[in-house]
Amino acid sequence: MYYPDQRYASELTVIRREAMLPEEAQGTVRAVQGKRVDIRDVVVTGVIPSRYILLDVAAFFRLRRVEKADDLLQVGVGDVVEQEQVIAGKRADRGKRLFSPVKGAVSFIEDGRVIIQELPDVIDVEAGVRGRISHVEPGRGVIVEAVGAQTQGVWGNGKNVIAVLRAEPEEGLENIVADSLEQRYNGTIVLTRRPLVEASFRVMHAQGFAGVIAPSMDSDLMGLAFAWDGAILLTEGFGNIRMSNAAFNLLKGLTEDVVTLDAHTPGRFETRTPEVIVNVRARDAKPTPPNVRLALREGMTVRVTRPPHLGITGKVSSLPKFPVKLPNGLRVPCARVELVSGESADIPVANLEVLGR
Amino acid sequence: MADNVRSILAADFGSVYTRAVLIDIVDGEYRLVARSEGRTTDGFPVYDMALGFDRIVRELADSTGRRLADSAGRITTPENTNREGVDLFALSASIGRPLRAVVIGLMPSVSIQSAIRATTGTYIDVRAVISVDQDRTEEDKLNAILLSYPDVIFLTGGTDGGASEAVMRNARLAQFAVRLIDETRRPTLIFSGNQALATRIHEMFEPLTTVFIADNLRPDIERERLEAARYQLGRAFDRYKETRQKSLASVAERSQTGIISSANGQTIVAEYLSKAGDTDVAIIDAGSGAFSVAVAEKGRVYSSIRTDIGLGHSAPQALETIGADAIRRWLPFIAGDSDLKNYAMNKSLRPGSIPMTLRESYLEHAFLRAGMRRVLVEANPDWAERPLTTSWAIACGSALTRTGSAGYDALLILDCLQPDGVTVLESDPFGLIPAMGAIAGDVPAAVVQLLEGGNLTRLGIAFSGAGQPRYGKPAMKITIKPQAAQAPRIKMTVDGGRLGVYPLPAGEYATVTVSCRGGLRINGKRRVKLTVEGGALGLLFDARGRALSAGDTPQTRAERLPYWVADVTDDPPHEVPERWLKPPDAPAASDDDSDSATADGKRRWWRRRKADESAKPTTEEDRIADVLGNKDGDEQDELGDLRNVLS
Repeated sequence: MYYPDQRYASELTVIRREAMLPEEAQGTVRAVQGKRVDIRDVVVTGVIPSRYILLDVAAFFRLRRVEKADDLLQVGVGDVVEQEQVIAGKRADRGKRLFSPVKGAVSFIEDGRVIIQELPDVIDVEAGVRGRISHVEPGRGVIVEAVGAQTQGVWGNGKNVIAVLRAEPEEGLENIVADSLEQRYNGTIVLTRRPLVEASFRVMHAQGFAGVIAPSMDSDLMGLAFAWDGAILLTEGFGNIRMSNAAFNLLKGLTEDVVTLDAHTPGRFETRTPEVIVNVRARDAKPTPPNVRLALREGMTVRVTRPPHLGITGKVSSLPKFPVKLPNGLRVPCARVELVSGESADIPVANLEVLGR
Repeated sequence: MADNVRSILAADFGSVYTRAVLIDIVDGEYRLVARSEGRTTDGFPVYDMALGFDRIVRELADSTGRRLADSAGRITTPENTNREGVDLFALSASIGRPLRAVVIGLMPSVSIQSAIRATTGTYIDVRAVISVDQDRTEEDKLNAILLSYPDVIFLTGGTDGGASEAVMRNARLAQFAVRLIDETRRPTLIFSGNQALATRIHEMFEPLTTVFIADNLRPDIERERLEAARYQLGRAFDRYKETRQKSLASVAERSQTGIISSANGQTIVAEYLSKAGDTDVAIIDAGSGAFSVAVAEKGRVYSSIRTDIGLGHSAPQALETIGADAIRRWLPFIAGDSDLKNYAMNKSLRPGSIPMTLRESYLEHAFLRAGMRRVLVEANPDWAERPLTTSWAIACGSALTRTGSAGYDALLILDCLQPDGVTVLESDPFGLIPAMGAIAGDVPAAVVQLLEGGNLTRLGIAFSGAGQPRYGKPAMKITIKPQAAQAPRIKMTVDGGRLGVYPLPAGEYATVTVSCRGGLRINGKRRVKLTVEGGALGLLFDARGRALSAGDTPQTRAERLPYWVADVTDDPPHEVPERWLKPPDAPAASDDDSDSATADGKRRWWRRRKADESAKPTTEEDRIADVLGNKDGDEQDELGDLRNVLS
């Protein structure tokens, strides 16, 4: 029995969305299990630890006995201090005094030394979907369950936006610039079937797109993608790959809806995927949760994840018992797949993705 | 414990696959009775490794007709009178992020260097190094520790009875840092320095965090002893996996051995086999997230693990670490930097996928060969200058063991190790080696009995020559006298730069005489005569010479690499298309068989890419400024004004 990878592309499903702080951050969850949240609700707040400043009070005042430093302290552990605030001195208003070089919090005092941690930037993590909190991980974040449409991509540039999804014009998004008065794409997420090139970025920036959903781009453009303010989600990968029909048709059906584009950058040691989510009102018949135990079987609709059939969907027509020899000489377990292009091909089972629903 | 252990379940969690073996005593000896594997399920959509593990355990139970777990999925231990469960349940893992470590020592060329060498024995990412000669303030050092978010602080320095004040200064700095870290996230402290300070250091840290004390890795300036430090680093890894990685911890709860690192298991087995058989052993593992080697050569064990070199999850980091040029040296076509980066990025997005086109299989194997060479040379820099000599090579990981052809597997192992001499080649497609490492401490007899019991796949035996033979001229003259009755004597010649195979099956023996010609020598000898056993491939004669080179240009490599594959498989050589060897100035060169776009679409994309490239600024910053930095230019202002009027 082989359990293939799954990637969700569904018009109506139960969405399970993680809203978590980065691993290094320390924070507080602001919601409880079972609570209903809206897209923009902050569910967890945290900080990434910032730089520590070490102030040697004993050395500054040339004290022979370090414990004498305690008598000079004008602050205590936990105090928030302003830049240039007096940290130590016989009097706070005159005489020789030691000032804080930064705005921060006093985190440690011992042996005549004071440690101040610079005030870090606060990270607010929003729910991203309208739903109910199904799990709380103390200090890290929550999992929100919602009902809606969900399409997962493969890569994102680390940004998040919530905006209207709009399809590119027939002639491609690079040609939007030709009509200088065009502004219907300003502030929207634009769906394109074509791979992004550098010229795309010029248009995306100049026209003020909020985000872009594209099939692929050259890895050379990653620097630009990270630098751009908007969110970018790739559905297929890197290089010159067009968007698969399955992904395009679903996304096309979501145009003119307000969507959440979570362009998360997949990390080497984490499991979250970038995704597009559209909340829909829960209908009378609530969709069943996705089946995480889908074994590969005949008749199943699958998508190919490697060239030469990358992105093409098809139906599994048989599962040969023995490994099949590929044109490159490797002999591996395969499934016979009737591709939508009409072709029939032996595809390694490791290169098949089930479009989860 | 060994006396009570009859049945063993050992599982290894890799980044892509989880494998398990069931071992039991049959006819008085430990035997592999069943094995199973499946995808590791730590990611989407399951997010729970226990689920994938339960599937595997169920498959083992179905194939043996024996219940291994209770109704809640917990492995039953010890085995009960109904033969349900197992006596020992052992775990190993290479999955997940490596330990983040900060190394603190005295001198970069002494204790720091040894400490970093010790960290290559397990999955560790050294985030910061602090030494006494650094021109950094105490505040800078403190921040270097704290902002590395370490899982481990590895404190070393001072020979036994030697420097103490500087070591204690470092210890106080580390203690200061530990106290500033939230109690739930405090790093483990490992001390492997001047043993006269061990008690004081233990007392300093014991109230704050977990402390492991190891023997000094530099007991004196001349000697280096890494074993004890490596052992404690391994314990820190186990502790981290068991306590911090929740998904793995839920499975680990059921194990009696805890979790050992897969690579540590390989090192244990290499050392054990080397001592038990008085032989040199090399174990290599090419995984999705990490590569590792463990080589026992002439009584000494060399090991290295690189978590930034892998074929899937770590492919982009591998490209950065190994360098594009080292990878290109194994490619029979012209590949630009962005081609390699696109490939590596796509592999990291779908780490379990398999190359289907010829071009992609060359790329995959180029990453494999160049990456493994890098890890090997790091384990022992001497191997950059001279070939490795090992009489037994065992390969782990799907890329090296699952090509579907014994010849292809053998070729890849030879290209990675590039040994000189006579080497038995075996592959471990079922994850037996890390399992052996996990049980070696409790049931040492099982390791020898299982490995001698033919539970690895014996590919055959390789006769590899060092030196530079003349390409296309006879380099090895071979006479083979199979021991099977009435088998005729066989004579064959292998030309320089090529490989030859004689299909002697496993269990059959032959007396082989190899006479080298030209500049070739086998382990320094012109003539070798041996009686050997065959394997799935048989006898392999490698007359390509050492140091091995596939050629300096793509054209040369296009003439050699397809023949090397053809020599060891039954396939005819693949012809390298001419367009692969042309600079990518035409759409066709971008690889017709590598994507699903139409030819027209590809041409348009290529033209757009070329247009982009022709106007490309020199640095990334310039490019970003050029593309994204001019929104507020005059033209935009005018457009904005016009829009305002219109609205």
